[in-house]
Amino acid sequence: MGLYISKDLIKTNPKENVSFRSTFYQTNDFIKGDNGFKSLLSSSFFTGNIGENYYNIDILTIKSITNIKSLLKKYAGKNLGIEFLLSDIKYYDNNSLGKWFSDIKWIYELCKKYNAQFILSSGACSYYELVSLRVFNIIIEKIGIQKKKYWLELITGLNEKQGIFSYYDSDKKKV
Amino acid sequence: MKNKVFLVIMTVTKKKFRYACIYLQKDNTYQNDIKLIYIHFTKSFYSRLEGLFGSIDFHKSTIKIIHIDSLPSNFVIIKCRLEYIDDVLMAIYFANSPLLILPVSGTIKQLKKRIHGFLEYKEFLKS
Repeated sequence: MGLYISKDLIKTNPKENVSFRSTFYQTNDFIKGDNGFKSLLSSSFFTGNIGENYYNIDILTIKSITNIKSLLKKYAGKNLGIEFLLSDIKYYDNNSLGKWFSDIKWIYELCKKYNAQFILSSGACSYYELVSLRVFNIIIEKIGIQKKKYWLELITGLNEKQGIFSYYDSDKKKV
Repeated sequence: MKNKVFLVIMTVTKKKFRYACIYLQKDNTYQNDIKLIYIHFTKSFYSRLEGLFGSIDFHKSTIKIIHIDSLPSNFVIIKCRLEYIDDVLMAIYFANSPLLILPVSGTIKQLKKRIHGFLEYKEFLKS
């Protein structure tokens, strides 16, 4: 099963958009009933500004890899989820895509070094942007990560975050 | 005995293929014209495969696009060598076209069955 977020629901201001996951999970009973989604995780975007405070954030979606090393150093040991969206790179040209694969391997190693959770996501805004498990595993392997290791680390990382029961509001307060 | 050895060699050296089916989504950019969408997809797919994996692997994968009359024109079947199916699937995903990758099969017969199963969700695709 896959989930995608309609573009109409995404607000232009990323700060207002961060609570989307929480709202989505709260309003969809079929997900609420699933044990895997018991805890609601807060998320935000990272656009290269290291000055912003992400201490209340569980998952940080990376839009720019500028200052990524400083970010990981700053939040070392906080078990911050570092998320990359495949929808961001889907329409890159071949050269940029090749560079992305090279960069992402380096970032994966950094995530391991600074104890951050590396997450790869489809970032789908329509059903045709969804990624099948087979293609997803191929991409993981092409990056140079063992697929079994990736899924095991992801499950372990999410299990550690379970029980937080938090959501994120636009005032950046964890409730 | 000779025949048996010959059969074993034939089985080991036989080139194996896989058939991947793609559902092309109609797009306003091409006035919902499926022919234009198809042309755009093939161009984008070939350039992706060649650009990402090089021209040697591109030719070694021996890609063929197969048309089946009994299927709607939105469905495209791509035949390629088993060894290169991962590269082909990745190039399809990164092709600059709105599409869905349907399950991969070893035979066209099996693939047709899966496509007919997929067609049960026709209404969802229209939405």
